[in-house]
Amino acid sequence: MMIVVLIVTQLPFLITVYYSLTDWNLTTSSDGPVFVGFANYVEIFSEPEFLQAAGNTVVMTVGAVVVSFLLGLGLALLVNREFFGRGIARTLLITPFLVLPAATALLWKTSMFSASYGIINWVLSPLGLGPIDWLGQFPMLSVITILSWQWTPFFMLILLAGLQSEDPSIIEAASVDGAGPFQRFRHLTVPHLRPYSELGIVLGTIYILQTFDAVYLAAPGSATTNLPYYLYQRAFRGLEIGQASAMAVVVLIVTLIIASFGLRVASGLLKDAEGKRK
Amino acid sequence: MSTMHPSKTRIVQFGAVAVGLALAVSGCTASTSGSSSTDGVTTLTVATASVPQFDDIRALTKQFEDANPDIKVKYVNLPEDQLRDQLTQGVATGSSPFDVVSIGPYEVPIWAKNGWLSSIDDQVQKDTAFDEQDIIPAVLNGLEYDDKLYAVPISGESSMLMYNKDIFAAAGVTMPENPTWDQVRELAAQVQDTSKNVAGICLRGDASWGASMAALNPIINAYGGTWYDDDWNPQFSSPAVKKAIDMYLDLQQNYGIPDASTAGFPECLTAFGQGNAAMWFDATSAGSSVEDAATSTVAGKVGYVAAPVESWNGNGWLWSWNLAITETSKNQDAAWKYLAFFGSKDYVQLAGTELGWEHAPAATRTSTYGIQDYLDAAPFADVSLAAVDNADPTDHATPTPYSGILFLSLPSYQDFGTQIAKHVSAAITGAETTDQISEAADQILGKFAEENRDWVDGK
Amino acid sequence: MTATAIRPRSRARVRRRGVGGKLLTALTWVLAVVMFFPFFWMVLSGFKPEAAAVTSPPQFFFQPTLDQFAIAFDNNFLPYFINSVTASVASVLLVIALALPAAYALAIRPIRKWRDVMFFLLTTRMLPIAGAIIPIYLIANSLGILDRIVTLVILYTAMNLPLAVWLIRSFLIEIPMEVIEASRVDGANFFQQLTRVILPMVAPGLAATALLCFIFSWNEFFLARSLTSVDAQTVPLYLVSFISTKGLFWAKLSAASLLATLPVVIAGLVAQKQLVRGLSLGAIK
Repeated sequence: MMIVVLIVTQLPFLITVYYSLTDWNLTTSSDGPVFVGFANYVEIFSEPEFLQAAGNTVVMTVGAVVVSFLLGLGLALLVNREFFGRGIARTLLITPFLVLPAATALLWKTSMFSASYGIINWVLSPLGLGPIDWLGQFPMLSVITILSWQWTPFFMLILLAGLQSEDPSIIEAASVDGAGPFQRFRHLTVPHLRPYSELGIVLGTIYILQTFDAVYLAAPGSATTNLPYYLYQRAFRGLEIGQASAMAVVVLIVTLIIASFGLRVASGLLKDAEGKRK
Repeated sequence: MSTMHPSKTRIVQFGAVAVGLALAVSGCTASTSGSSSTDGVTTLTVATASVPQFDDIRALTKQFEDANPDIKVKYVNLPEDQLRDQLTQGVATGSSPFDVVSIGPYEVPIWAKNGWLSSIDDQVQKDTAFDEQDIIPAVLNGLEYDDKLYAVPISGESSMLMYNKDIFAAAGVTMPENPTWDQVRELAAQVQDTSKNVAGICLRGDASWGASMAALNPIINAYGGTWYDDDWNPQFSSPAVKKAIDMYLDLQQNYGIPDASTAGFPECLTAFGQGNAAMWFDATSAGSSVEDAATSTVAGKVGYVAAPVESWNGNGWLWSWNLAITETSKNQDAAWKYLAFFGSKDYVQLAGTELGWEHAPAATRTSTYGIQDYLDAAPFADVSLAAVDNADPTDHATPTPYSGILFLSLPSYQDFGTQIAKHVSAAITGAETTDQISEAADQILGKFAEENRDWVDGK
Repeated sequence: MTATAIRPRSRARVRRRGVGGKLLTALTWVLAVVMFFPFFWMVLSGFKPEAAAVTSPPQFFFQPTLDQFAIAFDNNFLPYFINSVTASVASVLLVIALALPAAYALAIRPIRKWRDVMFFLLTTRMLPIAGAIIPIYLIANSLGILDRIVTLVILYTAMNLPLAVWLIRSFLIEIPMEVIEASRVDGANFFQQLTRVILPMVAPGLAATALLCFIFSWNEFFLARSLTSVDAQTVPLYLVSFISTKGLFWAKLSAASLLATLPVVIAGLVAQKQLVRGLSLGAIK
């Protein structure tokens, strides 16, 4: 089993490393890859676009994860209460996560953000704000908004799962002992939610890091070009296989470094689990 | 503890069987959907761009299939830039599943040189009804490489300026016959009415070479600018180009539609067609959509004039949509029948009578402009024919080593053109200045200079 | 303080909590409606004539029509839909089939350095697929499996496997050792243990895992965009073919979006309780 996984995930990587050391443009070099050593790597780091794409990726991912997490937490707390129509409200809140991301991107681009015909500008118009070109002037904010709309329900689901597994008798005991709602939240709920938060952040980061639809379909400008989209452009529009491969290798290494942060969180989860098992 | 657990091989066996099953399930469906011929019926796979001309062709494919009962047509329809990505990656890696592709004059010579297209010279010579002489020379020239023909045009276009006569009348201004960009700016200021959500002018501004560069390039031409000088030195910091960029940004920022930086052809068509833009500078092919009362509220109220000029009197826009046969297609004969059908004079008649004369293929055949029904239905016909006739991709204000006016006829253009387009788009929102665009563009052009020179010199 | 002085205060607090509670409920509903609105708008737009879908100000009242759904459906929707169903269902089956034994091995019979294995699985998922797309494309091309559903199945499986192993493992370690031991004593072989004892106990967890994997496969755009062109195109690509330069297209696109989204929305809403339960197990174990 592990061998299958190994082959599927690592063979492409090894081939990428090989191509990254070659000069190979599909439109202009007719005789296939030519070995050029580390020339592609040197070129990448002299290219502001690549570094910008890397920066955009970080901003986009961190922004969307933080917003989705906070909103998701708030909504989970709200939905965890008993109230009229709770099931329906939860259903409404979950829906964005289930909408096809490609449809989500087009929906926001065409009918939410559109400067002339968009809902957002229409809602804001009584406030005397002129038509705002959201995707043009605030592309990153717009993309983060789209991603947050899509991922907030995911965080809400995970955190709600956490809240519902909280032992009510402990809360009650604390409240009998005179702990106010904020103290109960701070000292009981927050520690209880930690593993859930970490799970959500790790999974959310993994998926939001790969964002392609929202950029490609809604905001393909330079201010929002993230690494997946940039690599796609280099490979399939520029047809610079050698250069795109070198970028891929750099991206993989950098991601590994960033991911080790996420992995430390994950390893915390695993250690907890192990501790619990013993 | 470990003694009570299944052996590793069991687990592996279980997994292997499951993998086999799942792959078999998906493999079955995959194998049934192969293209090509069964029962003597040939299936042609055609890739089309989401532009009105191909919508018309798809709508009339039934007639083609009726006329050729042994051919079935399967379409893949994509937005222009996505189609281009997909086609290029397919033909470049020799994995293209398409028999017929819709391409522009940008691709034809490059793809022909790379051996990705089949020449249709022989078929055209044999097929007297096709009448190659009838095709408008400016369009035909763009489809040749090494004196061989590689594609059949189904619509040609240059650029023109469209204006909303009602809005102009209400503002009490008139459009000169041959406006300059300075005059356009003055008019834009006079007709703009932000309180009524009416922008002065719509220009493409989205960050791709097919969008903002398509609008900016003709302006650069008009001001006498070029991309490279005769020795492949980048020219984006030249006074002419800077003047052009200034004009473009001024129009977009002060008189453009609110989402100018993300506007392409469809966005401008919506804005102009819904009466939210007083002018629109774009392809002559826009005329048929603007005059379509079903989706445009301004049909019948639009005036058409030639593309604005400045110091250089060139038109600066020449594009066509064409059908070509891929070299890898196994259905070359059926593919030619398809090209001959939709590129013919008969198809002009068919589209005119079936779909309405404003749908007839524009600027492909001289004979079309002898059809009174077409001239009646297409108030833009004269302007567009003249514009296409005048366009010459090899003619620039100063000598250049490359050819191309709307686009540069270089394989790397779709790459560096889009890189520069991103800076232009960003500048519309105020994130960059003209100087920054010039500097960035010169750097990008410098990086590609060597590659471009090699390509032109035939290395 | 006397009792009489306390009573009104405490009653006031109750009332305040009541008002506060109502406010919180109202807030919840406002947020729910705001979150749901874009989807609602998409549904609404799907029933509009084209000219009513792009207007300023937006139109809430109009003559509803089913035309856009007819257009969306007639535009060759079924092949895309079947491709999506095949790719998603096959990959989900495959993921579960591969993940279950792997997770079983990790959970019930911890191999040495199992934590490293889990790390490895998670790491592979963090590498952007875009980074590996070129070799994947070229390999698929040389194997002749470009534009084939089987390619998507393999890749979606690889994509979802780490998540599935992790989640399923956490469900499996919930099962008390004694139960399995008892069945073992009764002479059950591995397969019987799996089907008769373990599967029923982790069924809700498996359902949650399968649903998540299904959603991610169904929604996948990048690989489908890069590796298919005609025969194996999936629903997300079908949507993109609706972006047209021929004037207005938003109503048609909305109708098509709804068709494309519906299976996941229905599956997700039906199974939302299982999803919450499944995830709650996944986090702590």
